[in-house]
Amino acid sequence: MSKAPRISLYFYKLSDFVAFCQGKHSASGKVKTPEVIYLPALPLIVSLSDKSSEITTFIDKTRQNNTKIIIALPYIMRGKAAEAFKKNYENLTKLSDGFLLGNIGDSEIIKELSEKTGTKLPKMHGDYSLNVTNRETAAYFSKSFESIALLPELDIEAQLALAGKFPQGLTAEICTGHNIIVMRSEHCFAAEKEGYHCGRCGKQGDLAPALSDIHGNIYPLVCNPLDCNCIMLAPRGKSEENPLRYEKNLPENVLLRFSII
Amino acid sequence: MKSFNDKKKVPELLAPAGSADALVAAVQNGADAVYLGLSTFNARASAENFTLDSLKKWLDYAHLRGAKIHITLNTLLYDDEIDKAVDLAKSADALGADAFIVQDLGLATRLAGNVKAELHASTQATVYNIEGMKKMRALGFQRAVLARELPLEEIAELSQSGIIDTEAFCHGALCMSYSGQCMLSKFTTGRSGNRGTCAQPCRLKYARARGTEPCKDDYKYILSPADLCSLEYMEKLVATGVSSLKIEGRLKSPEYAAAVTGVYRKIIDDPGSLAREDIEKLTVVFSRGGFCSGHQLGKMPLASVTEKTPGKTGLAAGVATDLPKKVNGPVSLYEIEVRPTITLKKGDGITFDAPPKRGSTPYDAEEKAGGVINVISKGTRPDTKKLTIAGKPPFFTGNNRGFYKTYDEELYTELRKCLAPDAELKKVPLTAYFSLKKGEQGVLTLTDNENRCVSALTQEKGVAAEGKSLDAKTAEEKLTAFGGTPFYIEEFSCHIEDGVFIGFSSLKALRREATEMMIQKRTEVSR
Repeated sequence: MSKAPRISLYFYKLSDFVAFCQGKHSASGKVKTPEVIYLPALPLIVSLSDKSSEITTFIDKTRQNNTKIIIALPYIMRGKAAEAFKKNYENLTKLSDGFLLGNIGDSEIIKELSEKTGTKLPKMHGDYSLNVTNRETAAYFSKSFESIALLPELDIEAQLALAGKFPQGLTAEICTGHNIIVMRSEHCFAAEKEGYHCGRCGKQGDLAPALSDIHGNIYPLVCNPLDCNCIMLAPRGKSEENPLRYEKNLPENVLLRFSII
Repeated sequence: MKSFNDKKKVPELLAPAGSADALVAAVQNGADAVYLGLSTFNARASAENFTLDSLKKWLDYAHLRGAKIHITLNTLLYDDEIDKAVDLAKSADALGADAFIVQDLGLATRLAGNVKAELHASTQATVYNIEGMKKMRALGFQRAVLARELPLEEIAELSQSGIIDTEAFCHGALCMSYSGQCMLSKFTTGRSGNRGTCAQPCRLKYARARGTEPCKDDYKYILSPADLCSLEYMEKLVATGVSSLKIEGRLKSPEYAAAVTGVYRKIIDDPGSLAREDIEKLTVVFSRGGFCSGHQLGKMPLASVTEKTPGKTGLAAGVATDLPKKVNGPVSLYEIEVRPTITLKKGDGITFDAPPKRGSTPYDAEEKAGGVINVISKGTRPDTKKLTIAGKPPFFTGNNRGFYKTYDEELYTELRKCLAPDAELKKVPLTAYFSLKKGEQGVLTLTDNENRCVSALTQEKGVAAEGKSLDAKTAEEKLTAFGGTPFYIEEFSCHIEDGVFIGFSSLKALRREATEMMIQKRTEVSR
């Protein structure tokens, strides 16, 4: 039984990460030293090309504080997003302690890039988009990954039960429904009839206009202007389970993820 | 009918079988394979589906007519379900299932190498690049159903890579999300699309909001795209080298399965034969504001999102030029003058665009208008006709209200013919060879298009003819009467000794026995 829960923070926006590092984010007071921080690849690539950006300073300080920085591959690893990632692979490996992979083909891409660049194979972590809902699937991914995030469609108790059956050495990451990605689309929901590349989504990774349903639920969008596609996040304000309720009974191999937007 | 070798050059046509009638409709209209779910672990839990008990019957039905059956085991599985899913697969495998469509990778690891049927990675496994194909091959899959978001160029790249076979959707409903990557239904309704119970929240109304405030824009169906239809660029789709073209629609009717399979069969075999009537037929049977090419011809045009209605719209048929007038009488009838853009007839079902209700958005679904029972050729204005329609008159004001044909009695009657018990629209070609000599039993050898060969003998022996001897023409007439069976004789040849005779009842019995042998041969399971 762990004394303090192992925590990971998943940032969709670098500005939230910077605010967290500066102690200015609402999460700053609640989580002092997360074990892992996930940062999105595409906004990071844009930021690295900006000489005035201080992002590497914040990343270095975070790693010095024993928090791992893991870079989340583009939500849809195709098109210009995939090209940008591959082109910047070496820089990203230097900045990070590993990658968060979301698609079945991603580990092959990382292996091929490592071979091509002559760099050491980085540590790989599996995201919930790999749809792990049973121990056989977990066992399959355990051959390549240090950790696997379970599908948030499972409630927390089911995720904990499954985590208890994980192969030794494999971390089970448990995500609540809060701020998770509920849809990955090749379409862009922010674009209107005038067409794609409308510029409405602003800078890479910034919060785009959200969608609302007729009940008033708000679904934040995160758009990729390179390929004009987007992801939709779970509706804001929906009540959901707090995994810290299980704090006292968390197995040692469990990492609790909180997604921040 | 094209020969087997010709068929090898075109992709497999894979049709949905949500029910027994849909299976029959698809096979009878030329499907090379159908996909169906059993009572559990399939992504269309609300379809009629099939049971393990009835599966053998339908495997025989399909195999006899040259079609394969792919079984969907394409939901994500929990720990306590994996063993049950494996047992189900093994039972179906023993019965002769041709393939399993699988999403759950844990299930795949248990099935690979342990079933004779092929393993196909479901579109829910989100395969969209070469690397994904390689991982699927390593897992033991023989085919990947590609993500619907791929353009023709990428379908070609993956199909021609030689890594594993590919399958692409050619017709039917599109999802806004990459398949296997949508949790919207689970998080809004509790029903998971990854578990076969998607509540289709993408077919509801949404508005674009800013930040945390709902927008005052009209709520529209902005997550609801039109259905995919690839007929107009079928040659290009076939040229990608894709192994199989999949029609979506296990929740749709048998008439849909019949219509869509029939049209795609025709166009795949002869892309130059596409006619306007083919598209119109499919538009009436099911469409949402027309069709689109999805992402296959490049990024999906924004206009493919119909916005106006998420459901069936039918074929645009013209505009109303007057207000409906109720016809007095014991049944609900009304008359209306329209300017049609298509030919209308008795038995057609039509709907009108609904007017905006007070306080609502202009985007509302059509009102159902009922069935046309009479078409008077001339209305009071040029190019107009007067219709008498059974049903409650729709409420609207003003002219130029659009209307749509959503049903065609004549068409549906035609489509249902394939469901008659003795219907055999898709016959399997056989070659037949008959030989007869005096003092020997006659031999009839049948060979199908996959080189399965059976030979049957007559009970009696050939005898010297007392009157007219058996000639080749008469032998062919008696031995090629395969009406009421799934076969037809494409080529008949014989060697009949001069002056020999055998009774016609012997020939009839011979034909029946050979037919039974061929049926058994085509339905036997090699496991």
